[in-house]
Amino acid sequence: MKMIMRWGLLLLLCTAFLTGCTNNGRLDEGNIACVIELEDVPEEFTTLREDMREKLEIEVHLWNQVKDRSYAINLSRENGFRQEAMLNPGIYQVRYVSVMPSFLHFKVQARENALEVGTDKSNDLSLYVTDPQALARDIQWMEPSEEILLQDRFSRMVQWKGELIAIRDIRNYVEFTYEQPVPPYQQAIIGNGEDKIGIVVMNETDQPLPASECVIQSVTFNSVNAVLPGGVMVGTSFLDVVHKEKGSYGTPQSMTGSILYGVGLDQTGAVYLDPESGDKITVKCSSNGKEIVQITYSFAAFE
Amino acid sequence: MKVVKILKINILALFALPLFLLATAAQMAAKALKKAVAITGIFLIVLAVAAVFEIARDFGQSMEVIMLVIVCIVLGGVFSALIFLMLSLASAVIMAVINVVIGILEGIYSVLYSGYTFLYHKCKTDYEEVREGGTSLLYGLACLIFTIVRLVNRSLILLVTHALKLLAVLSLVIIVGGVYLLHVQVTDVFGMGLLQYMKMFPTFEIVYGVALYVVFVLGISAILISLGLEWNEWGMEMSFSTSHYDAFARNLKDQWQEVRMESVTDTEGDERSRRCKEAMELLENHMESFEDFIGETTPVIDATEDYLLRSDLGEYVGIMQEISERLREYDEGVPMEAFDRIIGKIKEADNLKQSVRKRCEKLRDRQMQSEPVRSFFVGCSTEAKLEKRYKALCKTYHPDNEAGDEETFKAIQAEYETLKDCLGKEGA
Repeated sequence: MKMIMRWGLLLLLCTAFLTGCTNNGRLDEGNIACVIELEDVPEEFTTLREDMREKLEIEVHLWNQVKDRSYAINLSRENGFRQEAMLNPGIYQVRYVSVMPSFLHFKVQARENALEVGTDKSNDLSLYVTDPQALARDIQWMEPSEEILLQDRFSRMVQWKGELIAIRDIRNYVEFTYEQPVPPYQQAIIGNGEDKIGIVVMNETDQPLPASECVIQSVTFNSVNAVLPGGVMVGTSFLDVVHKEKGSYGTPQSMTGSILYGVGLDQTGAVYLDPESGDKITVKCSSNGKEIVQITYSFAAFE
Repeated sequence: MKVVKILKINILALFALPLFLLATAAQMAAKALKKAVAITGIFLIVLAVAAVFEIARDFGQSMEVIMLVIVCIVLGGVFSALIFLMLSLASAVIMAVINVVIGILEGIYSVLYSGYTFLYHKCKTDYEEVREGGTSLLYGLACLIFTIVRLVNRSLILLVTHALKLLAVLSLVIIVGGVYLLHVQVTDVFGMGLLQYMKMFPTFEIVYGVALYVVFVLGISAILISLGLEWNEWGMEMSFSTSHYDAFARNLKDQWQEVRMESVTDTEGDERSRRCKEAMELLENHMESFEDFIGETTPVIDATEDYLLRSDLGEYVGIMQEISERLREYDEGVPMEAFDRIIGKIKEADNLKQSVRKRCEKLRDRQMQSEPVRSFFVGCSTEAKLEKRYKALCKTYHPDNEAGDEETFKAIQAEYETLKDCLGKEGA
């Protein structure tokens, strides 16, 4: 008996070692068909840029408390935003729903908090777009106007939510929360999560100053709200910007981040410097090296 | 009669093939598991390199970076000492589990491979008897399953014995291929070459990227090459366990003739030269008695069909061959430093030889007690083989020899005469 127990324990250890501690469930582990589907894909989706449509992916994470297992369901254009899964009876709670790429204002939620799987249940989980207008707005804002296309890249102008503005005036168009005054000769970072924008400000005086009155040193854009001169924005192909001949900005003056481009270590970034004004534009590419995920416009340090 | 034997060969081969494939899978899994620990180590080193550079990235001044590295080393030492006590137990458990799994896999391999070699030799002996004087292609087709087994066996041995070269090439491909892929990607995206692209980065980032790449790629290459070395040895072992040793013995003898040992034997004096001389004498003894040793052990292994013993003998032959090959590299005589490095191998071979000899003696005694007649010439299906075995047995059992025995020698002679007559009649 002891021998059997010893071997049983050993087998258990070996199995645990070989299978690891993963608690990811498989989508074909059961015998009841379930459908997870995005209802009413907004009409605007068809007008979204082709490359964005290809990239758009909704990930639904379900969790079965009894089995302590997670299930990831991917909905994309490829599967028509509809996925079938074969699950065992039980309650699968919706942990979260995420949308990639994150720079789009495309938010999706599940109609129910949990998917109940059973022979007498509907076994379906519907998702819906919380703000269908947001996608329409994104598409509208992503369209570069003729004015921005004609601007010089160091003109300090940006198309913000469809409107051509000076980057220095960005505080008039975005709501920021200024909690504490900035100490003399110190920097502060203020941001807006909704608009995915960050600003570095500097108090150049010898008195504490509210951030709203400090000098803007740089503005970082992380969403499609902003289109820079030449139509460069978050989501634009990195190649279309940095290529020596085909790129809208051409060969950069210097680079930042990891030299191991596209490996996913530290985002590789291209830096463009204006010798006249001293301004700098930094475009950072995604970890796969394909598209731009961040654009920073830095003003010359001393003016 | 031949048809029955052909059928038997095919049926046995049918059982041998899955045993061989499963044994190979078990051995490969065991070796891969051993390397899994090394791979984890390499990833930890890569992470450590990345962590040091990431921390250092925030420091602009080189002096600060140096200070940081010093602080990291000191803190790392203290931290390591503290966590060592806690982690030692956990790591011991993990290592124990890994070793148990490896042990189980190697055990499975041992059992399956013994079964395979047993069936293989049965098939081989029968096949040689059936084929005697006939067209090899015709009998090869008749014993199709055995032919397939032989082909699979040879292909795998060929692949595994050349694994070191193949994996060395693969390592080189990984090292060069990684750079090439990066170059292609950079050219596609930036429209410029890799060097021009790198020049745009700060020196720190270049050093960081190159260091990370070198650590990662060299780590992977080291794993691949060590795996190649192990597979190479395994291939030799497989090759020996399904072959006869005569060819190896002859080959080794030829190789040994080319070795020049003057610089070792001429040296006098210190501890090392004394140690080398002792090992030299031991090695010479091994080389001189090599053929006799093979001749005395092979009949016992063939008769008793102890395939683990065959595998050990194969390992011994492999070590001797390796020693001979290493010594042959020196045309002008072997330098003492080089000879000193192979003393361990010589001792290993000596221990193995003693073990094989003892086990052979035990088996021989047991065999003589249970089956005194018709036990010396098992597997000798032709006159040439009979003659060869007889000569080998005479060398060991002749009463004039130290280990000789008159009664055994007479029994050998009687069996030899009987079998010679029988084979002579069959031939006629």
